[in-house]
Amino acid sequence: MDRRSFLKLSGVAASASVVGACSRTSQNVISFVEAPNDGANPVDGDWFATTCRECNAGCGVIVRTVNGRAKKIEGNAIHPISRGKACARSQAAVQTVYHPERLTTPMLKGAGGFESIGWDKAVDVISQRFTEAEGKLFYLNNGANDASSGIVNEIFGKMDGFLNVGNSEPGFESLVAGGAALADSPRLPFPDLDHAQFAILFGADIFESGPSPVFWGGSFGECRRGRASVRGRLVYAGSRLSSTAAVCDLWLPVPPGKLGLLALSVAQVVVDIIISRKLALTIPRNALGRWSEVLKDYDPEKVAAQLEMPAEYIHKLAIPFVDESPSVAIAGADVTGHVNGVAALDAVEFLNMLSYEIGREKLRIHERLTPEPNEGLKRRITQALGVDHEAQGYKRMVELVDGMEQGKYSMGIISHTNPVFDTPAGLKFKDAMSKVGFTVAVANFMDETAAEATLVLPDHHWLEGWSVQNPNFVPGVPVLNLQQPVIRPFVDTRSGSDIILAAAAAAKLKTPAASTEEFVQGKVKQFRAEMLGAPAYLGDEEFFRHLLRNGGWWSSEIENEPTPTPPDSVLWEYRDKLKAPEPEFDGAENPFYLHPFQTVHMGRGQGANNGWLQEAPDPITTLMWQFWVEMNPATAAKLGVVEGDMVKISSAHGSITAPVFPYKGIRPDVVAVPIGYGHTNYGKLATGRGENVMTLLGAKQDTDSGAHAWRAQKVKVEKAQGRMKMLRNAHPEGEYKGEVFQL
Amino acid sequence: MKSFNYKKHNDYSWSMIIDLDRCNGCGACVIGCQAENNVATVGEEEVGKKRNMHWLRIERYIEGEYPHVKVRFLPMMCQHCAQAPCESVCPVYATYHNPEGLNVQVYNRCIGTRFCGNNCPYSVRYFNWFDSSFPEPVNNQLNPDVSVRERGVMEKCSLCMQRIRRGKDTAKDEGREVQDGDIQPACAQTCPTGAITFGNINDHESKVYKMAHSGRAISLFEEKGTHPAVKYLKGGTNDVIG
Amino acid sequence: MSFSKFSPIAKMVIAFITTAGMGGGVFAAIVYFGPIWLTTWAPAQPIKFSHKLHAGTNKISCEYCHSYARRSEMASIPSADRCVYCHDYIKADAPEIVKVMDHYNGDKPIEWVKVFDLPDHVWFNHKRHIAKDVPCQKCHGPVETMDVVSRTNEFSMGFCLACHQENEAPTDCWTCHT
Repeated sequence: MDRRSFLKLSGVAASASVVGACSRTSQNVISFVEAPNDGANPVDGDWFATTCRECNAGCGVIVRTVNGRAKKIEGNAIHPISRGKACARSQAAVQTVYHPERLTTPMLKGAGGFESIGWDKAVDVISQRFTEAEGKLFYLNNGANDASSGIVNEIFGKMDGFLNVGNSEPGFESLVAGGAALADSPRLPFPDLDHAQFAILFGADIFESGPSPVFWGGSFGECRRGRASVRGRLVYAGSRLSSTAAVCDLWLPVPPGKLGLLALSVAQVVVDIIISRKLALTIPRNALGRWSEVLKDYDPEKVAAQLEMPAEYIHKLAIPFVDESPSVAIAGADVTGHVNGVAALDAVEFLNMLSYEIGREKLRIHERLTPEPNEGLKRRITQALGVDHEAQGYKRMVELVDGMEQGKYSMGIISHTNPVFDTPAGLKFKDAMSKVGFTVAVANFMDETAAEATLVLPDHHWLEGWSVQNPNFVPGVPVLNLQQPVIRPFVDTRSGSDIILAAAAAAKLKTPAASTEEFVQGKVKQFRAEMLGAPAYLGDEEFFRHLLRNGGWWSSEIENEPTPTPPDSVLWEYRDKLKAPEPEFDGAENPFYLHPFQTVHMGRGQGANNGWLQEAPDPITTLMWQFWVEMNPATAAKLGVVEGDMVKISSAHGSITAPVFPYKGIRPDVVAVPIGYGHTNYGKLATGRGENVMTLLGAKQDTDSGAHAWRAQKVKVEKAQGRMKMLRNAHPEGEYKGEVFQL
Repeated sequence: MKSFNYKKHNDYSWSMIIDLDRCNGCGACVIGCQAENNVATVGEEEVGKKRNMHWLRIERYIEGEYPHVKVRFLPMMCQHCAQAPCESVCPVYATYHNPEGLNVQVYNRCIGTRFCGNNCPYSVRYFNWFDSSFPEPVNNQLNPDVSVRERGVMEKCSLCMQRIRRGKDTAKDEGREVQDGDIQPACAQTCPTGAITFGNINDHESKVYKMAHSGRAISLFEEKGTHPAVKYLKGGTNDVIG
Repeated sequence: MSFSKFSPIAKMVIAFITTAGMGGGVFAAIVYFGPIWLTTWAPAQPIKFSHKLHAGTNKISCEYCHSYARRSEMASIPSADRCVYCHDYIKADAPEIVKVMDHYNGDKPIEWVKVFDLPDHVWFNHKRHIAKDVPCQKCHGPVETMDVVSRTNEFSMGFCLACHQENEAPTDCWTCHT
């Protein structure tokens, strides 16, 4: 360059440095118009108690807000389910509320696709449809028992042709049916892991998915190291070494669908021990005799070959089950995901009943520190909020799909669930949905289901809206979670249930309240008299504020009575439940069992558009931003593939391709694929990433409960073209070969 | 245990104990830390170059052959070593050991030589290769107590210094010392199993003191002589089948 | 003798020395004049509020308006209703006060120009300083003599450190630079 331009350049550089050093930046400081009258510290922030709605566990959380922005979510220390802790998805919710792709206007499907319309027009459109529908409509949510479902139920519940449906986590209704085996009403089983000395997890990935990973995580910590002189022991039986199995002391790779058989075999040995040691139990002796008779077929010697383990192992599970009482058995997706799920659950609950009885005999009675149970109150709250056990689950989804096909519904409301994405191909939800004249999707983001709807309503994020929630998780224990807005709506959304109320009022239907907030207050008032432990002397308004400060109502912890022995008649007839039907598989001619599983970050797919969750390494594979298939190294060798090679996995319903992650912790005849990937319409981060394993699944159901048998699919696996770089955060096997872990 | 190269007595000596027998790899701590400390996400391409910035990572070890496989988890973050290999190599003294036992990283002094990251045996230092992008509206979530680092600066776990500072502030307001359990870094507060415990190891009544003196406490890479303030409690396996 | 007679290398060396000299001169000018330039900044505010009148003549305490100073990190600029407490009836017809009432009644916050702003990598806690009886004027200067607030202090780190070292306050970097 020449002298002139060189000087020019250095002149510019010099002046740039002057400007850069300038701190006469004029920023504005904007003061309040009216100061908050509680003298709260504006920068430390205000903490509000609310309820996390990322899944249906109903964990109480507290949220730090600074200057009206949500900054951090933590567990609510006094809440009985979260117990002061929060999971990864709950922590990531502060990114979701400020996500650039949040829906901001109602959209009505016209000839050329979606057009934005105003809120008033949206209310008009819906109200007109309400009038035309005359009660022939369905309400589909994710299984939550909350204000939205309560409002819809109160408006339409008694009308002919109305259907309430919950698209719950797979296996939910089987768990409920299994829990009902020995109780007098349907309930989720609630084994007391906190105080157990020995636990057998039957395919229960409870620390990663399912009813409440936060609660079970806390229980696990207590069980393992919460007591000075006892280290709880856990055994995991299932096809895949999940992160839950990783923290257990032993992993037993039982063939898919055979966990019920294992439970019965363990039970056989336990009953044998009870009889041979002449343990004095409250159980009538002839009941024991009957069971022993029936269980003879499940003697370890007879079934060990089917279970692919030495018979001795089964004895080694049964003996601590007796000797290290209190012991618990917990069933999960590897049990409920098969057609023989309920039968297997009956066996698992049988083991739990035996455990309680043995514990009683040895004076090691379960001292369960749980909030006071009140089955009646719980049932009434559930009914008041609309979506009860019967309305939840796959069986009901099938009923809905049949109804949609037959034209039974003139309209439908789908709230915060994505069945077009997360239900199996065999259900054919999308086709059925297209036959309904008018569907309203209440959602935060455009997703596959909202894309199919006629009208999309952008709802408040759970940090911005009102609700009440009755978690399914703790059976017989009423917990009334309150969800309050911790920040003002960030974008121009309205509460979905407020819109429904407005539309119903415009259609001259009887509405329970003028707004969701009023509805929530009404529910609190309705049950107030039965809320033990809450201050009776406060006026209604003050009482509501009091509950909001805590995050809801649950009765105080007490030392519970031991679980009662089931009545003789139930025990007597239990003999008929002790069976292990063979599992059945869709695509039985194919060589591999497909093991779809929920990861801690993606959930059923909602987490896929969140950058934090995508970048967080998966616990087992440590993969980030990526989809994969796990297979045993021996299987990979047989197929001639190495890490990163693409394989095609196919069934009669569809096929997907995925990069291989060889993993020793999986049976050689099983391939595991995470769910929640393969979105086709869920934002920039999620769309086109991976493939949707649900497209491979047929519609097999549990014989008893109708739950979706989502682990009952067999598939073909073939090498395909291409490779992918595996975005691992770790060496495939870890650098340190276990030295730090030995005692 | 006080760091041995400090002569004057200090009230606080912060320590963190991680119980390896409780960690189930759920990753709540990773995201909790990210939310609390304005840690950036780098995206797919940069992750492929191993440039993800998680201050806290869960290492996963697989041992054995099928079917006798064991998988273990180890949460790893800055160990706040008393004899930190990173501190002695910074040409501008951007990292040093403070009297309370923390390894301090001063963002505005750092000139980005990356020598410290090179020296760290635990690989827990992360470099900002680019300006972290917190575009609107995601920047509404940023924690006002923590700087947003710009490119060219090293960062790492600070044991949530902003929370320690706030805890001491509150204690001073009330005219008392910090009690055990008052201060919880983000990871410790959110861990569902209670695997992470934080406290003042100079307080002989504190949980961390008792845990550090139980038979299970170990330091990682003890043979390198780093004397970390973060200790791990060894896990165990109770043989079931013998 | 013309410049073009020198060899290319010599030309480059001369050009470099000249530029470096100029750069050095600019640098010296910044260092010498910078503090004066920085501290004579008195930006115009949306409301012509006079500290001289309120804090000086009428001797209203700083903390009456900047009320969060003793209980928070931020001293805070008072909310509009703090002005209204008095000016609802005191000189209610003065034009500047009418402006304040407009903001208050119209629910429009007043957008003050921030005079005392620290860089983003600095965290300052007013509460601890008030607790140690540090007078506001120590850092903010003689505000009670200012009609328009100006930045009398360059707020260099040396200024903070000098006082901290004198008074045995924490000098750990992470106290302020998290």
